[in-house]
Formats: sequence, C-alpha cells, structure tokens
Amino acid sequence: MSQRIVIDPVTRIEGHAKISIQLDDQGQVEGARFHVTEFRGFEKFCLGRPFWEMPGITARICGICPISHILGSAKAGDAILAVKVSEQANKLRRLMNLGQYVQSHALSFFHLSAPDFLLGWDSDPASRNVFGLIKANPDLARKGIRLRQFGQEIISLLGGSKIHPAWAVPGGVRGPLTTEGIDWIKDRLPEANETAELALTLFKGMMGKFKAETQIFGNFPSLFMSLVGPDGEWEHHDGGLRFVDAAGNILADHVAAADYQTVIGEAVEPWSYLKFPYFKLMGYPAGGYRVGPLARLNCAEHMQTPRAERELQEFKSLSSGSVNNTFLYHYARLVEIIAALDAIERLVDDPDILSDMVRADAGVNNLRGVGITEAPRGTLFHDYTVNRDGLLEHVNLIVSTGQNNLAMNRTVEQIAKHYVHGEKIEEGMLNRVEAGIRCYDPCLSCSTHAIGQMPMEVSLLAANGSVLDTVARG
Amino acid sequence: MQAGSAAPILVIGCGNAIREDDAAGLCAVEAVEALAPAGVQCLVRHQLLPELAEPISQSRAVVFVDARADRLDQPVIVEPLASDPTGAGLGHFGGGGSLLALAEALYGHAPPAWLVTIPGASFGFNTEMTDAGRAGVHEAVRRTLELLAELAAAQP
Amino acid sequence: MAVKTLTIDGKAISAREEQTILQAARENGITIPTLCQLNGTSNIGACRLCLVEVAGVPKLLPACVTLVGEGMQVSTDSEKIHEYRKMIVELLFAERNHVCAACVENGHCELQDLAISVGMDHSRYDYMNPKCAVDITHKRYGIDHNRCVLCGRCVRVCDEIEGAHTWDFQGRGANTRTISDMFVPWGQAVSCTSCGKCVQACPTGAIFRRGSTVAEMQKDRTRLDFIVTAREKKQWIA
Repeated sequence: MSQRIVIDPVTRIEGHAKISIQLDDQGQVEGARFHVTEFRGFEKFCLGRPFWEMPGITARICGICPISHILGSAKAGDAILAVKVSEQANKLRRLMNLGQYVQSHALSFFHLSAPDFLLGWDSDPASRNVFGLIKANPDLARKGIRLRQFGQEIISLLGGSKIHPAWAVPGGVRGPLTTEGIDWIKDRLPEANETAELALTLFKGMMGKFKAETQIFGNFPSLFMSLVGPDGEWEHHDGGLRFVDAAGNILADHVAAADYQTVIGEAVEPWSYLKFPYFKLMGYPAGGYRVGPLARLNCAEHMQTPRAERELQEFKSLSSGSVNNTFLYHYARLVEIIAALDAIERLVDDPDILSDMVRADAGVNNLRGVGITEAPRGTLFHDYTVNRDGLLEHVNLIVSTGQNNLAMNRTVEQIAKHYVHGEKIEEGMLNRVEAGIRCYDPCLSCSTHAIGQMPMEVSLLAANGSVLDTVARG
Repeated sequence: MQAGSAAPILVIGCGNAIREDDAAGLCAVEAVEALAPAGVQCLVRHQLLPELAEPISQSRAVVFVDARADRLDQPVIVEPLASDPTGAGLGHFGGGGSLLALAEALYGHAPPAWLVTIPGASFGFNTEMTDAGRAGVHEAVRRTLELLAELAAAQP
Repeated sequence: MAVKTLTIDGKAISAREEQTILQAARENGITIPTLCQLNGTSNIGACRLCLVEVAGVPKLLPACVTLVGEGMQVSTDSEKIHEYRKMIVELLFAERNHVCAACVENGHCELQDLAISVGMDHSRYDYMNPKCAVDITHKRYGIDHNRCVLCGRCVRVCDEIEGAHTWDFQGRGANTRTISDMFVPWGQAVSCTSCGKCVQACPTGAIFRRGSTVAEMQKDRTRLDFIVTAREKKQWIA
C-alpha cells in the first residue's frame, strides 16, 4: 500500500516541487510521482467577469509565459465573437508568440540546462548553474542572455513595456509593429541566428557524451500531441491538433479547437489537485501523452524554411518512429529556436505587420469558445462558456505541465530505477532527477511568484508508506 | 564598472496581483513611486527574471520589495541583501540575490542591495489583499521611503 | 453684476457673486481636487473632495456648492484638509472592489489619480468587499458596479445634458446602486438613447465601452464640454 501524500497549503506557496519515489517489498523502485501545484482556484475566480477582460486577467496566472495565456484567451474570445481575425492581426500574434519561443527556449537552454551539459551532472550543485557557466564559458553565457533579450524585445515592441501586455484581444490585436521595430529586429537577427546555430552545433557535438542520459532520462514510448498546420507542418499558434504514437503513426489529425473534448479526456487522481488529460480513444492512463518541443517535432512532418527543414529531418533521423527520448527535448528546443528565427525573418519582410486593420468588432455570437495555442512548453487550452451578455459562466484551462505530468512521473521513475540503491537518496540521483524534470522545462509559477524559485524535495517511501529518506534542495 | 552618483536608485516590487497578499510588493512599490525622492526609479514585476540584471548593474543601489510566506510572526523586515550565486532549483529564476550575482557576473557591477519583505496572511486567488497584508504594505512603504531618504542623503 | 473680493490661500481675488469658491479658484489658477463635479451639470457636493476651510466657519465647506462672499478667507491647503481628502479617497476604495490591475480604466482613472495625488498607499478602513454585479446587457456599453463611486455624474449628464434620465440611484448609504430605468438591466432600459455621454462622464472604469480590455478605456471629457458650450453659448468649437 503506498502512502498518499498530502501537499499542505504552506508548502504549495513556498513552491516545493515535491517528488516521491515508491519502493516495493523487495526495496526496488516501483513508481514515482511529481506533485504539481494546483490550478483550480483560478478558474472559479474569473466567473462573472466579461470575457473581454480575460487576456489581461489570465496573463497574471504566470510570470513565465503570460504571452501564451494572452493568445489562448484572445483565441477563445475570437470564437465567442464568431470572428476570424484578419490575416494581419494573426501574423502579429504569431510574431509575438515566436518572440516568446526565442526568449523562453533560450532561458531554458542557456540558463537552466547548459550548466548540466557543460559542467557535468556530478559537478558541485552549488556551482552547477548559470554562474558556473559564466565562469566556465562567459562568452556563451552572454550570448544566451542576448538571445533571450532579443525574444523579449520583440514582445515589448508589440505589446509595450508593461508587465503583462494584454495586447492580443478578442477579435485581433491592439496595434501593429512600427518600422523602427522592424529595423531593430532586422538589425539583431544575424546575431540571434549565430547564437542559435552555435548552441545547436554545441549540443549535437556533445550528443555522443550523453548516451546514458538519452537512454535513462525518460526514454519510453508514449503518445505525442501538438498543433500542426494544414499540410502537417510545424505549428505554434494555428492549425489543428494531431496525435502521433511512439512509432510515429498518426492517431488523430486536424482536430479543431472546438472539438478538443472528442479526443481529450481529463482524469483526476486522489494524490494531486491537477487534472490529467489523456487521449480518449486509448483511455486512462494508457492515453497519456507528451506535449512541448519534442511533441511538436514528432507531430510535424516538415518545416517551412530550408534551414529549419534540414534540422527537423536530421532530428527525425534519430529514430524510425517518434523520438521517444525525453532528454532530446533540449535538442528539439534548439531546433525550434531556429524555426522561430526563420519565421520571424519572414514576418518582418511582410508589409501586413504594419497594417492597422487588425481588430474585428463583434458581439457575443457563440456561448462557448475554445482557444488553443502552443506555449513554448506545450499545448495550452482556454475553454470559456459565457452567458448571452458575455459574462463568464465556466472556465476550463488545460496547461502544458498538467499534460506532461504522467511523463514526468515516468521519467523520475526511470532515473530512480537506475540510481536508487538502498534506502538513501544519493547526490548523483538527485542531480539527475532534477535534470530529468528540467527536460520538460515545466512552469509551475502558475500560482505565486515565489514559485519562480522552485526548491525540490525528494522523498523515498518504503512499501508500507513510511518515509525512508527526504532530501530538499533549494 | 562602478555606477556613478548620477545613477538611479532602483526599487523593484514583485508579486502576483491576483493572489491576495502576494501583491504586497507590487502595491508597496506603486505607492513608493508616487512619493519617492528624485533619482529613484521604480519597477514592478510579476517575477524576478534575468533581464533585470542589466538595470540593476547600472544603479547606485537597489531595494527589492516582496511578500514573504515565512517568519509570519514578524512585521515588515528591512535587511541588507547579499549576492547569491546559486541556481534556481527547478524554477526559472532565483530571488534578488541571484540577480545581484548575475549583474556582477555579466556586467561587472552589483550595487549594495536591500530586501524589504511584507508578511502575507493568505495567498489564495483574489484580487483583494487581507487587512493584515494591507497594513504590511503601509508599513513597508514607510520603511522603504525612510531607506530611500537615507540612501539619497548618502549620495557622494 | 456684483463683484466680491476674497482671499484664497492668501491670494486676493475678485469673483462674481454667483460664482462658487471652486469656480473662483479655478479662474485664478488654484487647483482644488474634485470627483463628482462635472462641467455643464449641476453641482451636488456629493464626494466632499473639494472641502475647503473658510475663516470663522467651524466646519469644512464643499467649494463646488459654496458661493463666494465678501471678505471671505478661504484655505484650500492645510494639514486638516489633506487628511480629510486622503480619508475620503480611502473610504471610496474601501467601499467597493477596485482592482486597478485588471481594470479597463487602469492608467486613465480619476480615482487612481486622486489616490496618487493624496499620497494614499492603502486604506485604513476595513474593506467592505460587497457583492456587485457587472451589467453588460447593453449593446455597446457596460457597467461594473464594483468600480462605481456613486458620484452621480452619469445620472446628471443623462438627465441634464441628454435629457433621457435613464440613470438614477436606488437604496441608501453603502447600499446605494446606480440603476437604469426602473431597475431593469441596462440593455432593457427603453429610455436609453445609447448616446454614450455617461461613458465619457464616468470618472472610473465603472461605465465602459463593451469589449474594452485592461487599461484600454480612455474617457474624453472634451466631448461633453463641446456639447455644453454649443447649447449654452451657441458656439460650436472643438
């Protein structure tokens, strides 16, 4: 009998990522759980508000990916208005999302993960961080930070420098880019491209060194889900949902946002406040799926620019079916930076992004609206039901970390099976569990800002549920 | 590089405006902004993220104002903040100490820093703070303004 | 036309006898904060923000409804007045649910500006957190009672300038609510001409253009001034 873990409210606020590892009667690892903070209170909180306010309100859920919430919310709003946003507005929204990909992926790679690769998993955790990286390779660290800035600046050029640019609105966006903005982006693009290529070359060059990690850090068959374009191309904002299995077979395709519940169910577990989405045709938990960069590359058949296409096909050649190794989320992230930079380059040459015909005006024409967007860390759903006046009556949000939760559990389990020996949690195991979770770049800052700094607490539980060992790392 | 005397004093408030007392840092800094002496620059952020390292490195002093979920028996605390070159754990970025370390490592200068923390009574989903949280904000504004007056007076 | 001479903050000024202290002060470049006052509509002295001290009068007087008098010594700037103004703004905030961060008017709000100008950083009074509805039944506009300060500018602009009298008050004290027609949803108020004057008149985000998102609402009071000038002076000047 395994013990049920109760996450007390104070712990939630302090934002410990709680991980429990369950042993069986023989003292072997039986399973693992990554406990994610709850999300439900937010959905209740919005009820009674006009849906027009939701981009501004939902942006406050999260300090890490406010843009995804703004875009998801605006798209749900489009559906309630029953409008198709203008081509110009959509291009501007896409540009903002691409800026977000660059900044978010750059933060994940250079700040959070590169220290693991470059300094080694067994190096001192006190210096296995961005500061250690700056010491070891100051040039790379600085370049990474400039790349993140480049993405951030695109967001600011569009949405203004306010904390939460509620710039995408139901019906379109508030305004276009300026010629000065375009000039700035064009000016900085070559440097961004150079840094992205440098990181990709660096990672590919080190792949040989990571054979063990590639095999152990969450290497298991699963389904993958993401948006894809009409021709099965890589998508980050439009298109329909596609599910592929571990062998690369397409199980569902071009599912429209409004129909998401025909393919996705949501299970609940007594040990977590989070919902567990699954692919309905396969039931729960077999229908658990992964989202995010790895899923998007597994679902996409091709990219839209020659450089990105080359990188995608090289990535896909790693496996005859889907690439199932969680460790390769890092690789996928770098390919996506390249794809995003190519897409940005195309958009800044498009006169549409200077157009002021960017906002459709309409009343409430549907009582329900679903908006789906690909956040950097995975697919995000905003599902609103309103009354005839547009006041919210029901809100359902599905976030990427919830969708990846089962996969994170399996990743921790796999790592634990390799590195847990006996009844003590050892340093090497802890480092690798941390790195395994980091592959998903999970964002748990959906609650308070304090969770931006997320200490980790790992517990080892005996078959009878008693705690054998607990290690916290801040 | 040392920030000169013309460099601003930076006040950074962070928190989440829809999580009750978590908003305390934001509210306090918004009030400080209206009352602060010349040469003080105020910023409010949902979370502390690495891009703040650059303005921090260019400032003469920096004051972080934030809600606190521990030491709830104590009132508003004003304390010096040291640079802290440890990582972010599993999260996306660390606290003010990390930012100071980053400012130092990347831009060669970390100014003297203080941390003003306001005890929070509750962090649920709500746009209103608790009465205790509001009283804390009031106190934090007063203490921050005192600190700023001292820092401004100490100008070389 | 009789002329009165008086002093405001020590400055000797002359004013016409039918002028209020507020009008006389403004003509002489002396600022007195106001909230319920709206050019072109009657003054009701409801918000009390324009309270001033008059020598020899034991209580504070609202400048918007107090006529000038010969030899009056008016003070608009004392510690007592500042304390009162701050208290009034704090009470306004405590009475309803004002959430600037998510408000359509954020950054353009008269209440927000007042809070900054009186140096308010929090309210010393317990927040009442009343349950207030949002009414967006009207085709073009909405009213969020959470943000209403009961200044009555919408009521007067609708009655006195548009002539429709769609808006009025119901209830007393803290339970007062701004209502349309005989307490029907705004969308069903047949007297409403959808002219939008109340939207421009509202000092906060309480009355807004439907579909507005955070910080997007910016009221244009000059539209009302234009209409009033046109009507009263037969001058059509923008």
